[in-house]
Amino acid sequence: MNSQPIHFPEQNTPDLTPDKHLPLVEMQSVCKSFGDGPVVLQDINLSINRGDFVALIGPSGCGKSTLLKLTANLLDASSGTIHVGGGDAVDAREKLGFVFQDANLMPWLNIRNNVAMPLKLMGLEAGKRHKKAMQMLEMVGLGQAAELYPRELSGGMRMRVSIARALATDPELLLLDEPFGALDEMTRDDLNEELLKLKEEQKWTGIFVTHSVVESVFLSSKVVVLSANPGRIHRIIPVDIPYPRTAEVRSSQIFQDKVLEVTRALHSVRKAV
Amino acid sequence: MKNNPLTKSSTYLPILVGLVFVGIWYGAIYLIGIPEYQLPAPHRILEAGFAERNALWSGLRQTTMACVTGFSVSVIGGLLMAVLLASSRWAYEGIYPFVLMLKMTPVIVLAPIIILWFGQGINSITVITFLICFFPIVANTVMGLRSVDRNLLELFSVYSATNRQEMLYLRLPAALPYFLTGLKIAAALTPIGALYGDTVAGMGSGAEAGLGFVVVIFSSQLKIPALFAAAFTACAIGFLFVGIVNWLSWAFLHKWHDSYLNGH
Repeated sequence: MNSQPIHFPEQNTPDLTPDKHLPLVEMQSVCKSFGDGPVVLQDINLSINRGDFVALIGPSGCGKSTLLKLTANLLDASSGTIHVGGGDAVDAREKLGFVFQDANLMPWLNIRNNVAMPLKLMGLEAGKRHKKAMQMLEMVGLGQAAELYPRELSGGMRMRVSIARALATDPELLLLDEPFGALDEMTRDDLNEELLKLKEEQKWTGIFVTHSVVESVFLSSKVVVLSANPGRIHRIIPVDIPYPRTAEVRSSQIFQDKVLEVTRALHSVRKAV
Repeated sequence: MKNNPLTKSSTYLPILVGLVFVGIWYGAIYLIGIPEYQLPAPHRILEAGFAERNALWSGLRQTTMACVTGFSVSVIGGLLMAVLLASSRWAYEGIYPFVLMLKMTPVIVLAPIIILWFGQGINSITVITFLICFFPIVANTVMGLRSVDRNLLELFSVYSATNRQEMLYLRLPAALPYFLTGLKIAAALTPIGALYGDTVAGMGSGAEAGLGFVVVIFSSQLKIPALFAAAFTACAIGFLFVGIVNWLSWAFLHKWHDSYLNGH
């Protein structure tokens, strides 16, 4: 069930280059409020192409995590539609990986079984899912740690396990909710670079929520700056630095300029509040 | 010497304290002159225990049987009840008050009714043991099943896990420490339930008399050293149960749970 490509009416073989205009995720006038509470998200229109890596950034309370959960169908939109892979978000679940704020591992399972859990839930037999889990762990450099328990790992290693788990089902769309927020800056930089490497190898499309301007520019092909109360899209800033990006990119002029541009956009959003 | 258990403080300290205690005991008897009908000397208790070994042994067997059956039924029943209560809001709100009601009614009041239904003997004793052990298991396990990390629930819902998968792979393992805590409380209560059941529903003759009934007999016959011997025998049952549960708890949790990893 994992190897079947999503069927596209427009085209039979999915093309993974970002510039082909075949949105993988299409949000149309999405609004969200919880009960009678204030409007969290208002009139969100966003289309995300295959191969894109989109950063959602904005002041706290702007609904960026909510937007991610709407995409994962963990929440229902109050109005508007979100299409993933041409179908409803519901159909797309099996093609989706989600990386949570903290590593969100099950403490009673060893690392290998944690990574294999999504496959278990999808009904893959034990031999196959363990083989796949080992493969994923080796990919994130934790093949040796397979038998350890989450408690025995550092924060950065736990996050790697979490990413391995999200990628174990070969998702087309990876959603990351502030994945590296709790880590120190050096670990965060390392993981950023690794994540880009994984993306080069696996060709998924990504959406991630972050508080870090540097991270948003380094990882993404476009940065979506949201304003708060209610959450709206303030600006979409394309980051036209070619992939693959390595650590050296961070010291380049174009990178610094983009960081400045995003910082200014964020600043104007904060002033408006 | 490193691995010699006698050099470990957890081994030699209890032995040392026990010896001091026995010393004070003898001191109290021979220096102050406490009579045997109030406090028999330790060697007299051993003698009496040996003399009454048949009654004590069959009592021990009977009571252990009631304990094992009552405890097992309450573990299985408690677990099933907890799963039922945690599987839907409707079940929790509808049924839990009645489980509470059962708990709130003192067993002493229920005992005559139980004897009325199940007759004098081992059946009633087992039911009484069950009633005493059931609630701590249900209450703790339900608490565990219902307090699963929200993020893990979301993870399961990302992968469209079924209710059954969520129960089996998420709620039950997450509730394991709570369940084992319930088990510990229940294990300590088990001999109390069985001995109490014995005193109200026990069968008085020979091989069928449980330890509680043996105590009643010794007490009425003023066999004071034998009474003390019976008390120590009952204590052994408690140790057996709590020991087994502690071992289970270690076996299930020592690899991952904080309680075993923070270093004692």
